[in-house]
Amino acid sequence: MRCEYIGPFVDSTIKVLDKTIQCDISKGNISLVNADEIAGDIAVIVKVKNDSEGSIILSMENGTALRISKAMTGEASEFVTLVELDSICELANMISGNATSVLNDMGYDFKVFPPLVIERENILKKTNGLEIFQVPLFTEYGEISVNVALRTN
Amino acid sequence: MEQLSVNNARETFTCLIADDSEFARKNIAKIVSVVGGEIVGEAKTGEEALELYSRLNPDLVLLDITMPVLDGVDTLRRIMETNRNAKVIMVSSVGHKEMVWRAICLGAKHFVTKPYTPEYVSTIIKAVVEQKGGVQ
Repeated sequence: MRCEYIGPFVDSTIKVLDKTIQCDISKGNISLVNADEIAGDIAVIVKVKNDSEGSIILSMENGTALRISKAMTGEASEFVTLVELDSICELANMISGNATSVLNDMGYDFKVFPPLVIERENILKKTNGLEIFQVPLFTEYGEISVNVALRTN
Repeated sequence: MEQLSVNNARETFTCLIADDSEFARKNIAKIVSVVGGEIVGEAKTGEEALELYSRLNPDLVLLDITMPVLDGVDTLRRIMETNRNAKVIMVSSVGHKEMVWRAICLGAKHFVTKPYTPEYVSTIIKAVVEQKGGVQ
């Protein structure tokens, strides 16, 4: 995977979170992880195609998802329901759309697909053995993990 | 989401929203209401949007790009084939230059990139609804 792919996804996550839920964000260290090391109760995957194939996975704990969804919708919930999952999916959609737009303006050709919530046990299958670069982002709502798994065609 | 100040707008135009995210549809529906629009239909896919467009003939369409079944660009193309005067604003997280250019060439009146501010979108909606022709 090209290193220049990772920056736009991390930058877009920070930008989108800043614009949608207005929170301070600090970035952790980038690391190479296996699929079973993707942390969190919730994982949303966005499939990417064309110049690169693979996926972007946004993951977080239930509590983080509840707090972020509340900040986005104004509605509090005790449990993660379809409403909370839909908010997190839209967040993943904005992040992946913004990031691939930056990459496309740099001359690459990326196409993104609608986000899907996936079960933890399906992450390995969905990432298809690709190397996964993980960047943790720390916010007042909790930790969000940005995982980029792309193969250059 | 930031609050918009409510003006004295009356319901002056009908609007169809197409986005696979309920959160996104709710968000933009609030803005449409504030600027005086009436939401006559909501679609989760491009195909649903086409069906609702032909049935409801709305004054304005707010169209996402990344949707299942039929994406927003193909949906836009087919709407413009049925009505070359259709007023469509693309509202998408995918906003690279080539995509914006393609949508405008197909007939979209404006292109809004997510995330957006309610103030910005309301300005664009009002301008497009009031325009007689051409691209904003």
